[in-house]
Amino acid sequence: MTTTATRIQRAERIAGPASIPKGDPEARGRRAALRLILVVTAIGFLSAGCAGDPADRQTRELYRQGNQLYEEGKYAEASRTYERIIERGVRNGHVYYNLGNAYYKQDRIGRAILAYERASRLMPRDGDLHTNLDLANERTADQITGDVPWFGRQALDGVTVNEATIASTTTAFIASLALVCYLLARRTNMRTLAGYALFAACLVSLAAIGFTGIKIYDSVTNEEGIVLSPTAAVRTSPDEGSDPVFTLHEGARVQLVERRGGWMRIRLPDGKNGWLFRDHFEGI
Amino acid sequence: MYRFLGVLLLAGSLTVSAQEISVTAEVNRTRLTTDETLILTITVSGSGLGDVAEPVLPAMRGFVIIGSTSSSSTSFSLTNGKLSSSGTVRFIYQLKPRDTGSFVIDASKVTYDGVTHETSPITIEVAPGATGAASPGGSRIAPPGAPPATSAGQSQGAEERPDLGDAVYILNTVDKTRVYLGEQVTVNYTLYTRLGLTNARYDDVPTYTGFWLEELFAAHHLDFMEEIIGGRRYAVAKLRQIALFPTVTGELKIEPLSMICDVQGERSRRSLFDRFLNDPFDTFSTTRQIRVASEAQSITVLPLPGEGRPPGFSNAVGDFSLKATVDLDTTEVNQPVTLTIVLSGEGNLKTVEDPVLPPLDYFKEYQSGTNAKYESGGQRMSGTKTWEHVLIPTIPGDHTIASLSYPYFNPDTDAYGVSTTDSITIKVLPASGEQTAVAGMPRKTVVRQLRQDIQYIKPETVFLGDQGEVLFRSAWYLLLHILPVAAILATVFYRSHARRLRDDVGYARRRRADSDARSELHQSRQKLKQGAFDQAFTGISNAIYGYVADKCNQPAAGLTSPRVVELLGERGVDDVTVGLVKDCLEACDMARFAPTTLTAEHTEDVLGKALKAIESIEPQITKER
Repeated sequence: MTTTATRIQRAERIAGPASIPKGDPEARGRRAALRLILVVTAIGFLSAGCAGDPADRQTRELYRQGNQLYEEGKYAEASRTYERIIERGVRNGHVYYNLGNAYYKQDRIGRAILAYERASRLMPRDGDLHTNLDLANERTADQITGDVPWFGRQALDGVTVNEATIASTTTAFIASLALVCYLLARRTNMRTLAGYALFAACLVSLAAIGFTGIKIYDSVTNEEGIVLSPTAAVRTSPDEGSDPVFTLHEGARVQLVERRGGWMRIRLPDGKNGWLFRDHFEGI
Repeated sequence: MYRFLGVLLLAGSLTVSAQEISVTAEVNRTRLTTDETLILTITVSGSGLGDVAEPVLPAMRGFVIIGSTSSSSTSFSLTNGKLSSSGTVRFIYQLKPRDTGSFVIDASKVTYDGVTHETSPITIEVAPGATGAASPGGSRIAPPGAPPATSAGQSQGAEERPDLGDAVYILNTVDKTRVYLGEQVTVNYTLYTRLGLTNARYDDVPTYTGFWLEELFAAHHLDFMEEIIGGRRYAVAKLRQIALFPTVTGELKIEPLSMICDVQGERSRRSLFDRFLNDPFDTFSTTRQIRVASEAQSITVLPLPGEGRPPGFSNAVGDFSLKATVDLDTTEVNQPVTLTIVLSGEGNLKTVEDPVLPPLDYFKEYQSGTNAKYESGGQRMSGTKTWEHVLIPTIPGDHTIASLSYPYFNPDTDAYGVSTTDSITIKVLPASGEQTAVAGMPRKTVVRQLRQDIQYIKPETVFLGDQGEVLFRSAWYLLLHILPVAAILATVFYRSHARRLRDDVGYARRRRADSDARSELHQSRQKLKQGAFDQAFTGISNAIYGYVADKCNQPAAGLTSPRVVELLGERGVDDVTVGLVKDCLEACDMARFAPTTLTAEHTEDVLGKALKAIESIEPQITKER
């Protein structure tokens, strides 16, 4: 690469600088095109960065009320207030986090874990959240052991679908920009540079798009739920008369596999599975 | 080939369902020599067992009862809220055979609650004891616990047991038979022989159930000393000395220790005839294998007395003394002092519990280590155990470490005792500045978490918008992706256009023709307004010729009116338009030759026609290309 670059430089020195005179209409057109692309890309990034609506006034007011009730120790009222935000259709990690805290303080561990898990889907890298979720999980009755998640699983759980999507879009935009530069570049060294940039951007972009695909697939297929009843019998088949296979307690996290009527086939990380009635749990 | 495989359960058991008690009789062996003793155990067990009367033994033909003992145990269990107890009473008899031959021990009878239970009869075979010539000498013995190496040939020799009488025996002596829980019992095993023994090894080694065992002496080599007993010369070797510390109360049994040795046989006792008839091979097998066993011993273990038990007593039995010392009695804040606590004395030091330190308010305490030295040189286990604690003073002043006390039970005096240390006063000076500077760094202390609680709620300043919207499903987000595609397409188009402009002159001229002609016509209009009609006509003429030349990529200089008509006709421009062009060109020619006749209306008219002509040619030619 270096040798190529020097060779090109030497060739230029011999041939004289290939600068384009300012008045050349072609050069002017190219410059205008580049400027246009840059502006469009910038607008794209900005709009992608501002994904999600800013909080409306009512949400903020309810949130403030909830926090105030929490500070006064009125945890039940606080949780009801936070729930009202969620009923309004606003899904926000901080609201779920505070809701989880309010339930935790009321000793409603199942509800607390559910709220924390929902928060974790929206802000997966929040340290406080994981501290609290771990504490809440320690207070559950069931000891469910599974394998330690491999790094891929951790990576998938560490980002939201939207973050992955934005990453893919951004890298794809950068790759497109690199392609445009490559097409417009006139000087050989600039073209080479743009070529390398294009290659790298394409690789990164493909990786990001692949990861996003897996993440979206995972978020759609990998459904989980939290047991909310104090005790819940998991049965061999989806009817009340069948034999219980095992019993779960409040706060247990289960994988939801198959729905049939009011019943859901659930699976534990260690492979145990059975049917659980809808009233006993809620999906994350 | 174990012929004496521990206890053989031969007797049948009789179970009476009404009382739910069972009575069994068992013997430890069914085949023995006259030297050995037989142990008959009658076990009565059942739920809710009360006092059991001594069984009525049958008339023992051929045996003498040389000892008897009994033990009982009761276990309680709570089933479905009901307390039930089940008990076992064992009557143990030691029998010595009187004579050789086969004997039957008839049924023993046990009467309980008015019902008589009988055990099954047991058949016992008694063989004569071993005899042999003595030739004392050292021989190696296998360590206890090693499996007895008995080959098939050797066992055949031991089958006909010679009458040993008191020629070889193992004597076990116990220093005490009634001890307190945790008190030491010393057991000595000594081998006495008048015969020459070789290849001696342990056969049965007792497990000493219910005892903590410390080996005081174990012979790896038989070291014989001579001793005259009852006028006879014996070779005596000390086999083993152990210290036993009972861990349970009650009647505990020490099972017999047995050994297997080879005895040198006599050569010339029998006549030649006998030897020939009975056993021709006996001539060569002059050594016999014999088994020697010590007698069983029972120890009564008493519980420690309840009265006078000092507080904090932790089952230390023996004679102990506790000492506490510090290495410095004057120190500075943060300069460590070592507190050494030494417990020494007689007793089982291995099981004693650590002495409890008094609360130390002005010191941080770290246990730095313990070490123990045990001595078993004498008959008694003794030693010293040392605990070291590092104390770091936290504030200056005179601080006292309260005295430590260590309660114990002394079995020799049958009384409890407490060993108490003196209290220690340490003078702690304030930390000197230089020393802290020299030491360099302040002591780090671990920040200890007192309580674990959840992290506090998030404040109001955080982002509170909806995060639930899935971006890849929103239309505007997907539309955003048209931008780069459009940019790339635009670039590709622009690039090909620019290249054609550069490379294809005809294309460049065609692209420019319309705008050039229009600007020429515009200038003509300016001229018309100024009144320069001839110049306006020249402009119109130039515009049309230039336009057609550019469109058809022809040199403008050589063009004539008929050529223009021809070119346009070739490119499929309709006749009306061609006519229009022709009219315009003719008007221009006319104007050139007779400029004075020109009027503003006429010029305006021709200019309009020229514009119209260009406008109608443009789509026709462009379409065609």
